[in-house]
Amino acid sequence: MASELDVGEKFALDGLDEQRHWQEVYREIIGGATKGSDVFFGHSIPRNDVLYKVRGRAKYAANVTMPGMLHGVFLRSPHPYAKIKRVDVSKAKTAPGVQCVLTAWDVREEGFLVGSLFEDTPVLAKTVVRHVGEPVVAVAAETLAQAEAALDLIEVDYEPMKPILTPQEAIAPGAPQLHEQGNIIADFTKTRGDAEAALKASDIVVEGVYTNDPIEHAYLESPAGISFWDGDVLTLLVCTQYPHFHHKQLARVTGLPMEKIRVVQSVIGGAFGGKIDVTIECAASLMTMKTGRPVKMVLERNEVFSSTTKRHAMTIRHRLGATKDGRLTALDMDVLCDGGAYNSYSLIVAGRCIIHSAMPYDIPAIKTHMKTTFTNHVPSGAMRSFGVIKLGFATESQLNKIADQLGMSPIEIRRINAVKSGTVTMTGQVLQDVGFIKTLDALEPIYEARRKELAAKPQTGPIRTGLGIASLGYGIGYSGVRNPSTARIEVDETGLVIANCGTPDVGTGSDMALAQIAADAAGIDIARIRVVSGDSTKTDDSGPTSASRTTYFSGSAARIAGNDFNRQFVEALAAKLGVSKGVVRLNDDQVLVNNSPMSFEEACKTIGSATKNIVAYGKFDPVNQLDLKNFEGDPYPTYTYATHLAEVEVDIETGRIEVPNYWAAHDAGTLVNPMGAVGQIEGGVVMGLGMALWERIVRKDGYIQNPGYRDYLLPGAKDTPTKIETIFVDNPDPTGPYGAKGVAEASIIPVPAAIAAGLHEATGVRPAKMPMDAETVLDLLDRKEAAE
Amino acid sequence: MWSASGRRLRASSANPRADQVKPPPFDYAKPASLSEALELLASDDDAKILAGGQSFVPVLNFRLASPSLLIDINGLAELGRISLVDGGLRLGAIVRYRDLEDSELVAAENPLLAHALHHIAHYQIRNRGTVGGSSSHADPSAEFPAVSALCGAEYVLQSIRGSRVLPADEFFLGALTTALEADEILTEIRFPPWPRDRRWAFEEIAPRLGDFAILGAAVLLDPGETRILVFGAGDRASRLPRAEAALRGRTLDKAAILEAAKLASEEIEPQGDIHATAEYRKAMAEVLVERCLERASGVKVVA
Repeated sequence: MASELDVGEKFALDGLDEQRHWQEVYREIIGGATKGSDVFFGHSIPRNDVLYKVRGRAKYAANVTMPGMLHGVFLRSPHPYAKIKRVDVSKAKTAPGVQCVLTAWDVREEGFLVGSLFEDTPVLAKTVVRHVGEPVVAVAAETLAQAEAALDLIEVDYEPMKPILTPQEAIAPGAPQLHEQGNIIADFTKTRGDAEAALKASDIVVEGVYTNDPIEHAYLESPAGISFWDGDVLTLLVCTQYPHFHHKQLARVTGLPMEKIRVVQSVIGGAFGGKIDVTIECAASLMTMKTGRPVKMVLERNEVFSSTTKRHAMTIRHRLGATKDGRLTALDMDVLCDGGAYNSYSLIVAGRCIIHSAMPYDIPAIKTHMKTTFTNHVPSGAMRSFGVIKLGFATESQLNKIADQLGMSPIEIRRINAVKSGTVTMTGQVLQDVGFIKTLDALEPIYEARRKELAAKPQTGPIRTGLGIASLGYGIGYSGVRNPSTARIEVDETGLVIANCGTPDVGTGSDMALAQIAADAAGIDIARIRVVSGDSTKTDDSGPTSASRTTYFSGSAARIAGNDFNRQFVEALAAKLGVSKGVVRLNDDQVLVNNSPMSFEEACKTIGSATKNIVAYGKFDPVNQLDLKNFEGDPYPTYTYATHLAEVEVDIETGRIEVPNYWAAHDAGTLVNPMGAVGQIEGGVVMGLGMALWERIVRKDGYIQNPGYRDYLLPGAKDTPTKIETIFVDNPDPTGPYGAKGVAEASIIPVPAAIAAGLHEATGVRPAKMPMDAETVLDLLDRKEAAE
Repeated sequence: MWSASGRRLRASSANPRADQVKPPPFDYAKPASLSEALELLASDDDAKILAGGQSFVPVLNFRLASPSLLIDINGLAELGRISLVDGGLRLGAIVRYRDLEDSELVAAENPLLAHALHHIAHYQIRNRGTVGGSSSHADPSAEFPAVSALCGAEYVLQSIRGSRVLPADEFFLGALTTALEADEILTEIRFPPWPRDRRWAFEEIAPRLGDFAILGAAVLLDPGETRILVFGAGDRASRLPRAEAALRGRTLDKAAILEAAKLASEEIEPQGDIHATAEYRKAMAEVLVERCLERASGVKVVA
């Protein structure tokens, strides 16, 4: 098993032969995609992983089996908040097939609490459970059925307590304190100028309260992993966005030294921020240590709903002021946010939201306050856009309100207030290479033409049509802290090039982008390059794949490493041949020595065993410092921008919304792989559509009422727009690799606000709550009718 | 595939992969004839019939049922026929929705049914789902039982004791409940002849295309009689006697349509759930019945 993992970590196919087969198939595809060009960057090269994914050959963690493997399951809390009086596992321990029953008392003191930002979450609950679905006991048995049967034999005495179910309850005087730190996770305020005075002096002020239901990441693959001993190295194959985090954490939880642990990312079926925290990693590994045997754990979908992080439910009170010629004067925003039972990424979400309060607009006076509290709900955490989608829903809706009241085009009011190169943000950052206005320019003719076409159509019957605009500006990378990425490129005598990149591909195709960048920088054929990106022992810790950072950060590192590789390779070959390095060149996969050509393989053979001395290294570490107390400084090295246009059809008798056409104009710098970028944006639009129209976790008394896809409604193929047109504006980012920057994550942000604006144009109602399901919309229409 | 034979294949407790599958262990038989199927069903109190599996396979996979024996009737060609007898459409129990969609006979002899098919889940599911399976499952928001009830279809039930024929409103007793006895198989559904001058309409609202209906409505306009039905509003699809009575002997004009639609909304007592409140379902009954009557009659209610 060890050797198979060493060569096929990411692909997890059925061994080497199958892997070679796909590489052959893939070589031909790349040849076709880049014909007639000597660079890979900027080409729509299909991803290698789709080849075997669409054929059903990819082995996800749940598909992996090993000799002697045990199956692990959790016993979970049935209460939102309760004291644990007694845990009796004696009957379970002697049940058929059971090899390990793990309780909190089996976890060493130093490793008892885990967590992404703060170590506040018990591996297994000991004295108290803080949400329904919190793990209390783990069992490993010979078969899954035996493990599940043993759960029924465990006796846990709980003393239920009154749960805290809203942030309002959490901050009420006398509320029980859920953690030692109290009930407050984040409480941030940022001011710029005197917002109150500026609002008073404004010609127009709009107010609104915007809310959303929590939602689920809805990745196709449930969290799954398998832990096992590989010699004396505790190895964990798991679907995660951040293998290095688990590596470090397992060292603390298990007490093993760092070098005796390895975490490898399995083929992953989506993440979206939902595979960045702890799920099965600690329990599976501890049970492997107790039994010496491989332990596989795969969460059931109802467990995914009840125990993994959710998008935060927020209540946003929003006031926005403007002059009568449409110039924004002041923003006052107050956000109350349900963080759930543990910290997870709530603090990061709050920080990013504060920083993005005004984005992408230049507003002279700002007061923004954000408070996130604990509750007895499942923890809220990281999810695509880190909360900014909800701010976008509020701010973009408010801006559209002002445009309507002033009789101004939604494009024009954005142009007037847009951040530009040279704009100083509220944190004091001077923005550079801003492509926001270009996205407005790109959409304006489409918007005007479509308006005319729709105006010419008579609106009869119950269907009304409207167009809606919304925009975004989104920082690339961690908020206000250094977050370097590194890459190492190696080669062997046969000419196989391994690019070890720190951030794993979570299904976005980032490995492809990194290979394109590295190939061009190194001067070699992309088909030679194998990207190894999800192995905690093969790469430096380059942070998680999140925050839109992989193309920009790891891409830059890959470019630097590629250039370094070219230099080292030329030097090694020159040394071997005894010629001056000035007469050796490596370009377009072709080696020239004194102008006579040599194949790359030949060159590698010539260098021989000295190829192992070629270890090219790239590190990208832009200086970003933000004073996180006063929110002063440069939080991100660069930003991505976009404007979206939604065409909305509303049935005014049923409230049902359809979105037949959608346009998305993005400033993504120079595109690494246009096909991949379009796919990511279409995915973001559809995901945003889900949040806008259908998706909601329904909770009652701390219990999730719809823990499955029958009742949790995701948009299906038939519900998506007939047309999603993606437009990329020409705006290279000189700080990114070959002009590129992040794009995928942010594309979700403007979708709900654009649909809400379209609904308003069609019917005159303004939704302030997501999702805008049929009943919600009909209710708004009824109220408007009653008011008239 | 198993060849057609009534041999009962035993679920093996020694099968090492038994716990790697979702459903609980069961014996399996695929009879070659209806009489063989009836014998098997009568011989085992905990036996269940497997038709398309549209609803029953999920029930098994969630282990909400653990039948001792699964009798697969998919091999019974005699239950797969679409025919016209005495002017009425007859559908064998294992006729699949997809077969109906492709059938010119159905399009000609029951255009309402042909139309309603498109609202039944997604085509992948329609490739498997059968009319008999759906009817035996009796989901209150299902389209086929609703259409059959509105048309006054008859259900043919057979057992080793004999056979009986029940009208739809005696076959469907409530949510997931039918008149089928444990030893009976639904073998055929018989629609009355479709009058040539009949007009009809069908409307449904669901959260997403292909979902279970939040509410659906259908009407039939025959000379001298208007039938109105809603589904998804109670424990089974049902005709609305008050709304129908309001139209009896009346010209179907704008006022009549609005009155009937209002009555429709008043006479149902739907439940609320996480997808829609009872109030929304009531409101939709008015909208959809109005739309159905408007469409079927050609009278414009809303300009």
